Amino acid sequence: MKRRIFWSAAAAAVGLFFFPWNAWAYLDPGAGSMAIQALAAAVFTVAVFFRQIRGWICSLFRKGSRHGKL
Amino acid sequence: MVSSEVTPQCLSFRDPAGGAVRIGDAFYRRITAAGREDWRRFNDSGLAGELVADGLLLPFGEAVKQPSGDWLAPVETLEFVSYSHEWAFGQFRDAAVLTLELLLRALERGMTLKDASSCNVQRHRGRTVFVDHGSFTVYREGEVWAGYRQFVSHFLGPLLLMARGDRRHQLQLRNFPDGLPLDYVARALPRRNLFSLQALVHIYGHAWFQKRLQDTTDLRPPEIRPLPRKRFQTLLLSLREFLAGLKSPAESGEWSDYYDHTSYSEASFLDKQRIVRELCRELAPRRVVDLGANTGVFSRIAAEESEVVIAADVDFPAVDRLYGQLRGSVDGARIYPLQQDLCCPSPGFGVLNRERLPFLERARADLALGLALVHHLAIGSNWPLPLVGALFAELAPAAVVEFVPKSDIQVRRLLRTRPDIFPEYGRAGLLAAFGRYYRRVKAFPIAGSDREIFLFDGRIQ
Repeated sequence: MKRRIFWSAAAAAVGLFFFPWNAWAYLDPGAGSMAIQALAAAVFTVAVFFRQIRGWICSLFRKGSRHGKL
Repeated sequence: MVSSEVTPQCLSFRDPAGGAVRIGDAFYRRITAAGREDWRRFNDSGLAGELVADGLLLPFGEAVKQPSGDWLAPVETLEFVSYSHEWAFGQFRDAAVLTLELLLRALERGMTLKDASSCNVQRHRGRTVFVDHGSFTVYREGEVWAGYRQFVSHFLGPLLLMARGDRRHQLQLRNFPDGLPLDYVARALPRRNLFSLQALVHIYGHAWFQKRLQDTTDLRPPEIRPLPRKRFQTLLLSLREFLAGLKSPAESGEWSDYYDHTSYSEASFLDKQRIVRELCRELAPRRVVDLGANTGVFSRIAAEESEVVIAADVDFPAVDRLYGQLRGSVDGARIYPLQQDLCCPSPGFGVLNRERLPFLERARADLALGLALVHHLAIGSNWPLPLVGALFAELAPAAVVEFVPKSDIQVRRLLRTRPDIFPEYGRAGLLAAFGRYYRRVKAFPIAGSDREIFLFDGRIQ
């Protein structure tokens, strides 16, 4: 029994250390809100990446038209 | 007494790490033992100093230890507190962008915000400032954004509804003190927003996730993937860029061309301005409330002679336009534009109906202006004239009121589609009605017009 309590407490302590939310946050972040964040961040990281690619491609064409065809 | 438990203004009392406290006329930030570490870090990291210097955070003083063990730090007093359901669109947008900006700056110093409530932001001396000093907390790598749900329900959701649905959705915030529920926003947004990436993720996707994970008998904390700081910053940057570019609906309000269709000549309008300016100069009020401020012409005149002018109007586009003009201007710093329907001014609500105070309490001033207003209340909205007097007496010990007679085109327009059932509406009726509340009156006819301006003072207590 004591061993079980000890390991449960240890697991809780470790879990608390790694819990991905602030120990002092008084606000309930919401399970759904937490779950979607990693996905949302990934979506916008990709969106920004595509925008950068598009900008790079457009700048190539702009440069090309400035110098004219060789 | 129970109501003394709830501090006035919507300042944080839910956080055990501290909250806002009022002692006499001064305001303080209280820091309990639970909040001490965060407070130290907030100051020592230089974040607090940087934010105050850049005008983004309400200035505050050194925290002093109290006999109870808590610390109290004095904070600058806000001249006027307003809530998000009253804000001009631009003010609302600025508040959202500020919250994101502060999050980004905090992250650079290893801190973050505990929440993302619209109560954390106020207009103060012409700037949009953050007022919840206790919201800053230490950030740990991988930590999820605890304020995300609140940011969407307090800021993103309402702003999207106001910009892409109906501008008046903002008023629903009176019914939802913790922001609009996500499923409500998802349902109310026009369907074409499914093609907007931001709406798709933050509203529709978010609402779906929320619904899926809410009903559970499982008591174990959910397994959540950590959110790396870089990704978090990208998310915040994309949100900030999106919100900074969100435009309010381009409508032309029924009032915004008001000054083009009046019975005034240019000369009469200038005379009216002269009278109001001289009265403000003579009375020298510190605080003025301008009811029916519309384009803010007279709010600006009042601001020349006073410290604080609360400019209230029922028309959303007029309020939005006024904020847009004041934004960033030095002489606009004293003016606080607000949307208010005087027939239904903001009530007290929230916990014990005291968490947010009624407009009629917050807007109390030294002088109340009611220019081109009375006929809209008395005839347009069927107020008996004594009630109009009562409204002014509720707000200020002195009132500058314009009387527009029935011969004027504006009143004739109000009576166009209805019988004239207002025999008591007239100069004598107005003087009798206000005479119940104010002892003295002076009359100032406007040159070249049938209209008159009255100064009422000596309020009867």
